[in-house]
Parts: sequence; structure tokens; C-alpha cells
Amino acid sequence: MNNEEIAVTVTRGASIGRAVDMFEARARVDGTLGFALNAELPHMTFARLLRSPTPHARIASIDVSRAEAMPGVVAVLTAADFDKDGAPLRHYGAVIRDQPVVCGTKVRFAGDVVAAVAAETEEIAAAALLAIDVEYEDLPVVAELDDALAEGAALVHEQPPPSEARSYADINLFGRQGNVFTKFQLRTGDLDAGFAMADHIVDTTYVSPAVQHVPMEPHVVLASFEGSRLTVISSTQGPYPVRDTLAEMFRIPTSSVRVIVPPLGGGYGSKTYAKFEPVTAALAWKARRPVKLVLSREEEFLAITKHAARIRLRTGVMNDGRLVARDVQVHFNAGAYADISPRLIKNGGYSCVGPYDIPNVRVDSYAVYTNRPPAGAYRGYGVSQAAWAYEQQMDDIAELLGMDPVELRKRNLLQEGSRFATGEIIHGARWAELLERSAAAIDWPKDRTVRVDERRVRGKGVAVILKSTITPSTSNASVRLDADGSLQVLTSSVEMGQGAHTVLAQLAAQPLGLPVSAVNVTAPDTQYTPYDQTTSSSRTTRAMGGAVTHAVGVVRERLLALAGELLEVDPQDLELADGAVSLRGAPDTRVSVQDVLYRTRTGSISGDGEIKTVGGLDPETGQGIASDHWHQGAAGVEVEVDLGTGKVYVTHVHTVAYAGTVVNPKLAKLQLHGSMFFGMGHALYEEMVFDDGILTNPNLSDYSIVSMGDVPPVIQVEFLEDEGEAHIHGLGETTLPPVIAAIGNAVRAAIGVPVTRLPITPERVLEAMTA
Amino acid sequence: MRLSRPTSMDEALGLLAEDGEDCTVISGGTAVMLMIRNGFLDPNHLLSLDRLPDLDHMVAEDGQVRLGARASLLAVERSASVRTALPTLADALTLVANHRVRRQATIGGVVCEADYASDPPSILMTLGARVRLASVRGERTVPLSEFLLDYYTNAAEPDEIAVEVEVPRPSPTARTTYIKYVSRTSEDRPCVGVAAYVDTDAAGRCLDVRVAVAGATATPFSLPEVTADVRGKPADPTAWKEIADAFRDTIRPISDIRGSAAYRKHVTGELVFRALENASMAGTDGAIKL
Repeated sequence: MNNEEIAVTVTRGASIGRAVDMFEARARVDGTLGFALNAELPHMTFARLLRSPTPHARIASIDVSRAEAMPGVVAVLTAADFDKDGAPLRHYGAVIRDQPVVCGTKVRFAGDVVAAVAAETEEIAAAALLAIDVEYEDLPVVAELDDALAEGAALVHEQPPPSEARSYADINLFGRQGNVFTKFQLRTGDLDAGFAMADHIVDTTYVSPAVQHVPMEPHVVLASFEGSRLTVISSTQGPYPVRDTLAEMFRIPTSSVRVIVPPLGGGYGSKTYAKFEPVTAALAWKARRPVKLVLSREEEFLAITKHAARIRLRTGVMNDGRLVARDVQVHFNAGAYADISPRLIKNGGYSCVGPYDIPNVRVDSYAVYTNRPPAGAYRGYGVSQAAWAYEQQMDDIAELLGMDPVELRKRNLLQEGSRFATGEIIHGARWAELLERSAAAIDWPKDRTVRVDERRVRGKGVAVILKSTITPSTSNASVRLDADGSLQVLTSSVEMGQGAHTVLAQLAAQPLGLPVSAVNVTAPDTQYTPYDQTTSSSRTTRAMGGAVTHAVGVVRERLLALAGELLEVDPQDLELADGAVSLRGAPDTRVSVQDVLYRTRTGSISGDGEIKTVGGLDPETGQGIASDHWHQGAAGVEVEVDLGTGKVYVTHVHTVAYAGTVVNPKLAKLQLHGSMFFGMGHALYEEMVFDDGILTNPNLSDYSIVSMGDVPPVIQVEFLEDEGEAHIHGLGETTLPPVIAAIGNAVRAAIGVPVTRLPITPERVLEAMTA
Repeated sequence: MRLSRPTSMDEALGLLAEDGEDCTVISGGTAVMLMIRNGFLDPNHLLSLDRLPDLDHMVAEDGQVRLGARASLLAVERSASVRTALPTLADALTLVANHRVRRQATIGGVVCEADYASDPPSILMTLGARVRLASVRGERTVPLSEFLLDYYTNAAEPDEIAVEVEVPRPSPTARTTYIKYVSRTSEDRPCVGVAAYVDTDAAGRCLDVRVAVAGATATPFSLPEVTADVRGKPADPTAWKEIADAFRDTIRPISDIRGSAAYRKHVTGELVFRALENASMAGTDGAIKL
């Protein structure tokens, strides 16, 4: 089966397509929800982490004896506790096992964990950190891409380990050299011929900084051992990946590790894969007591970041606007550990082609180790860096050719049946329509550049993007209809504020004719809830929603069969609505769902469902199937720029996403609002600033995130939907990348020159204008 | 750490006289708690003003407005008498941080913190505000311009508590204004803030012009000789440009995440001009955020 056939279709009805309020919304806001932060266990101890103050150094010595002797200190964990008989392994990683739970011979970023303490109180744990003596011998710091890529650069990892034997089907390591630990490449067509044919070649380099996710809830882990069985309550987006990592680290069967995930207070990618579960579990193992770790805001900044990236695009274009060749060089600053970079640099690599039909393409995308905090998944997943580059360059090209930027894009957009650079044939291409909607919303091309007064100019910009989802991937669901007419949905998809559990309940309720309120969606618990690859990549509503739909279908069939026996009619002629089974066309011949189960002495009806997409890319040519479906989004933006200060004021943002069928319009709209504000933050305000590898702004005074006061006067979000029975398209991240690029293009229209480095600070605007 | 919460001023001053150097006075706590949390401050003794009676008064008198040290920024912002007498100060307070912080932070705390990136001190300076200090030795009053010494450093002796901020009423013919310029998000602290005070005669000539720049230097930056120089000249863009250029050329601003020194110099010139222009236009008392 191909992915089109694997994906389920749904139809708007009693619950699908309805603006159902998010489950537990009030408790989420007033803090009474059972967040991991609120979890406690008897005899629980409190963890604190000792972090390296220096970005790159050998650990000459470490002495924890004073800390261990302190009253109230339960355990102090160092490298010496690992890698021996009966002890856990010291290294872990989603793809490459390169990250130490606690550092042994050297530290690789300022913030790397060198020891961990469990104590009776947080205060004692904090005091114990001060009693640990570590001697460092500084090594040359390679924190920036150029330093790490230089000839003879110091190596962040002298001998990085090979890929995990059982990692992910879509990831292949390739091209390791120096601090480059993997690369992705794509080759299609004949690049030289394409450039030879081109009337113009535009060559531009774009830079994006590292930014942080800043979820309201920090990383929280509560770990406890019962014999050799490990239970972890964690604020993770990936219960199963965490389970697998812990099982491997402690060399125990996966069934001996139980990961429970309460609702999260935001994740945005920062909580994918094992993060602080290994160190907390190792402390619990050593302490023989439950251990709870809660990161501070400052530590959150050191946990994981969006990749800083430098993207060079050389694009060959004809006088009529046709793009004929593109040569892409992407360098992602991955920080000290690989985390999920091997996948991200792949997606961020081929995404640089954009939603365009370019026949001759070469992409080289590199993951580079540096002495910075590790970079990993971030809402948008490499695409916001890519779109920032290629959509800015589209406006460069338009200006060069004297062509309208919307028109230039439309001449090149992928169409139904187009062949994307990966070789896959595009179905359901809606980019042109999305672009037109965003352009129309900002009244394009009227007044694209306007002088408001002597101090202000106004500009408009658009952007349109393509984004993938993890492919191949797997999601399983189980559902159980109980005799009281309630439905239990067992899923390992994480509710992190995005409304996943509400939407899954809507998808489950409709085929069974149940009210949404009759559906309970369980919190992930790997001991009971079936496998899900991860809650990320905008995949839950489509992938897990599909698995739930299949599972409900199984239950429906059995329920109707029982009802058919009871009513002595053909089950084919029965329908389900309002909690009852009735004969189609004869509504008086009916029986309630409860009565079907009661009268047939059925205790419960269970069903399983699965979505397993297919695909993957060849690591050397980038040919294959990159995504089971393409996320398509566009944005239109109006800004005003103060010519005296250089400050950009966003006055209007419109975003639109191709949604197939929107399951919950209210929550979908909020998702797009979230993407919009994240996009504004990345475009204008957010940047982790490093001074020789040391982060200078790890707090919310010096690191600036969007607040209510920054919401533009006019914000609009829209969905492009299909009529009737249709697929569900992922929405979580689709409109974040185009907002960044559209803001850039609007600024460019206002001031007449591009700013190629994010964020577009007032100072950079003035510099661009005077350059 | 010892926490004391005296219920009378005599008790508070006595405690402070005993412990002096080892004692930190805490009012609303929005600054002190952050400093303690981040390890910048580790006092042996925290002396809280929260149970002292009568320290949150706001009294508008003929010549001045007296603000009790513990009056919250929100209370000052919302006081009708303060707003009438000192419209720019009241207006500017609405732009400080957010509602939750303003409800907690106090006017005495703001001046004592001597934070370079704070809005109110520059406005208070152009208004000629004074800080009244009390100790077991008696009371004294210090002009704010002399009270603010350096980054997070004020002129109070270890045994002194700031009890009141006295703000002279502006001349009835004067206009005041404040521009808060945030180079990043709306809740950010100022990259540069400019407070201006312009008093003119009936013929439109400058009588008294004062300017103070916040956020760019250790303490609010002013150039009294330059602003005095325009006295008697027409209150017009030529005069404002002269002052703005002098500020831009003279100021030696800091460089940080909100803007480099070169950028802050440029923006200072730009905004000093705009603040004076705003202040010289009738009916424009108040504060704006850019």
C-alpha cells in the first residue's frame, strides 16, 4: 500500500469538525492538572546537576567526598558509577550513543553534566553541588560553525560512536569527517547543465541563530526502582523512545521499564527522545530511592535548542522566472551531542528546495558538532531555517527579474503530478491556492511599499512552504467499549497542550455514535498503552488519529454484529447515533449501546488499530519518499519599520494551512496562532547569544519571547479544507516557517534591502539600510 | 538568613542600625528576590518593610507630590492626584514590566535599586525628585541625581531607609514626556528611554529644558550645560537638534543584548529629538512606548 492508501479518511459529522472545548482546559490554566511537576512518591529525594562552567575541557580530577559526607545527601553520581558489572551504561542517544549521562574524561559544552546529587531536600542538593571539587584543563573551544569546520579544528568527539544498531528506519549516517558527524545529500538532474542554461545565478547565504523552546513547564522526571524494574514519570513527548533508551542503558528488558507521561505544559520538540530521564534514573538506581529532577529556567536553556544554521543557496533562473538549478549547502550547528540531528539535517536539507519544481538540484546538508548545548527537534524541524533562506531568496530573484514575487512563485510551485526533488510524485498540491489566499488577505500587490511619514515605511511580504512529517513511522492504538457505553482510548500520544487527546476523542466518538464526553483518553503508560513513535512532527492527529479510527472500526463491527443478532437484522443495515444502534430507515427498531452489551452478556469490546507509513530516502542521492504527506502552508505579512530606530512593527499576519479535514476548528486555530507567535519570535526577537561558547542570556529577562503585547493588531488564520470524505493533514508546525520568511520579505519591501541574518533586530535593519 | 518584619519605623531603624552592612531592606521584592535567587545577593538579614504602617501614602501638596516608599507602582499609576500633578510619571508607570510586577514593585524600591534599565528614575530626575532617608541618626533629603551613584548603587548609608520620594510639581507652563524604546518584545526593559521637560515662555522661548536618558548608562544620563544653553532660544527643531546631537556625541552607552553602544548612541540622538519635539507640542504630556 502507498501512503495515500494507508492514511484513513474521515467525514465531518456529529463530532468531527466540531469546535469541542479542550479537555481539562481550566485545570491546565489554574495549575490543578496533574503535571509531572505535581507528582510525588514516598521517600522521594531531590536531584540537582553539577554543570561544567567551561565549554570544552578535560576533567583532570573530580572529588565528591565532601558532598557525600554532607548530612541529607543520599547519593552523588559520577562517571565512576557506570560501565561496570551490574551498572548502567554511561552513554545514550536517540541515534548515536554519544551523550554521557555524566561526563567522564571531558566536558563538551558549558552546562554539560559532570555530577548529580540526590538529597533529602532541594536546598541540601544545591549545597552539595558546591562541595564537589572538579579540576578542568581547558581545551580549544569550537563553538561556531567556522571554528568547528576549520582545518585542524579541535574535535568535540575524538571518536564518536557508530549509529545505534536499532535506530530509526529513515536515518542513515553518512559522510562523517572531523566535527561533521553526518551529512545528507540529494542529487537530481544535471546541476552543471542547469546552471549552464540559466540566464542568472543568484548566490546568497542566510543565517539563523539557536533559539530555545521555552516551554512553560520545564523538564521534569521522577524515577524509581523496584528491584530491577524502573518506573519513570516524565514530561516527555516520546514515552517509547525514552523506554527504549532506559532499557538499553540499564541493560534490562524494555518490559522492565515503565514510562508514564502526565499532561505536559508545552514541549515544542524540546521533550522528544531521552533528555534527563537517564541521569535521574541513574541517580535513583544509586540512591535506591525515588528521585525527582526539575530543571530551572536557566538549565532549560542548556537542555536543547533549535539548530543555528547557515544556508548557502545558489539558484539558476531563467529570464521568464523558471528556476532551473539549485545548489544548496547547509551547515547545522548541532552542539555537543547528536540527539536527533541526523534526521533534522536530512529534512532541513531537502526542504531547501521549497515547494518548487526545480529539475536540477544538489543538496549537501551537514550536522556539525560544536561546543554548544545540543540542538534537536524544534517546532518546524529544520524547515524554518530552510524556508527563511529559500523564501527570502525568491524575493531576491523577483527583484532581479523585475517580477512580482507572488507571480514568480506561482510559476515554479509544485503542481498535481509534479516530481519533487526527491523523486516522489506530488499529489494534492495546493500551494498556489494557499499563496493566493495569503496574498489576497494582505491586499497584494497594492501598496507593497509605502512611505507612511518621514519616520515610517510600510511593507508587505509573502511566503509559502512545504514541510514533511517523519516517514516511515508507526502508531498503534487500542480502544475498549465498556458496558456503560463509555469508550477508553489507550494511546501513547502525549497531551502537551495541543489538544491531542480532545481530538482523538472526537475521532473515536463519531463512528460509534457516542458523545465526545463518553470517551476517555488515557495518559501514556508504556506498561499499558500501545506503541507510538513520538508526539511530534505534526503527526498525532493524522497518524494516531488513523490508528484510533481503525481500532474503533473493529469495535464498531463487533458491536453491530451483536446488535444485529439481538434485533435479528443484517448488521449492514444498522447505524450508530446518539448512543444507540438503529435500523436504517426504521429508527424505532433500536437498542442502546449499553443494552447491546448487557443483553448479549458482553463485558467490553476491544479493538486495535495501526498506522504504519512507508518510505525513506537514499542517503547518497536523497531519492525516495521523504514524507507520507506534505504539509503545505503560506503566510502574508504587513510591517511598519521605524527608519530612525530600525524597529519592525508587525501590523498584520495572515496564515493558511492545507488541512484536508479540520477535526476541531477551535483547537486548530489556536495551533496556528501559536505557530504565528513562535514565528514572530524567531523572526524578530529570539537569539541565544554565545560568548566563546558560553550562553550569555539564559533567562527570560535577557532572552526575549513574544508576549500578549506583541500580538499584531490584525491576525488571521485560515484552513484550506477538502469537501466530504478526506484525509487529515498535520497542522502543528505548518505555518511557523512561512511567518518568519514573510516577515523578512515584508521588511525587505519596506526598507528596500534584505536582512539575511535572524533575528531581524532594529540594529540589523539599520545596518542593512546603510550597507 | 534572618527575616525581620518590624511593625514600627523606630523598630526598623533600630534593627538596621544594629545589623547595617549585613542587612538588606526588602520592599516589594521584585528585584531583591531575583538577586537572591540568582546568587547576586546573599544577605544575613532581610528586613522587610511590609508591616510598617503609613509608608504607602501619596500626598499631592502645593509644591510637590510626596510618595511613600512602599507605594506600589500600580497605586501611583492609578492615583488621580498623582496623575493630575505628574501625568508623565503616572503614564510611564503603565509601561513598566507587567501588571503583576507593578502591583508588587514599589516606588522606593525602584529608586533604591538604581537599576540602569529602569524607566522611572530618568523621569523623576527631570522632575527634580528627592529621596528622603531616615536612620536612628535622623533624616536627610538627597536629590535623586546625587542618590543614584552607579550600577545598582545608591548613596544611602547602611543604616538608612528610603522613606519617601518627593517630586516637585512641574512649572504650570512646562510639558513633560517620556519615550520608552524597547528594541525587542513589548515587556522588555528599555534599550533607551528618554525623559524630557520643556518649559517655555509666552513667546515660545526655552525657559527650562531638562533631558535624562535611561537604559544606556550606569545612571540616567543628562547634560545640564547643554540643556541650559538653549535657554532664551526658540523652542523649535533647531534647538532640539542641537541638544540631540550633543547627547548622541557625548553619551558613552553600554553594549548589551538590547543594542550595541554604537546603536544606542544613534538611537539616543534620534529619541532625544523626538522626546523634546513631543514635549514642546501642546497637550502631549505623557509617555509612549516605541
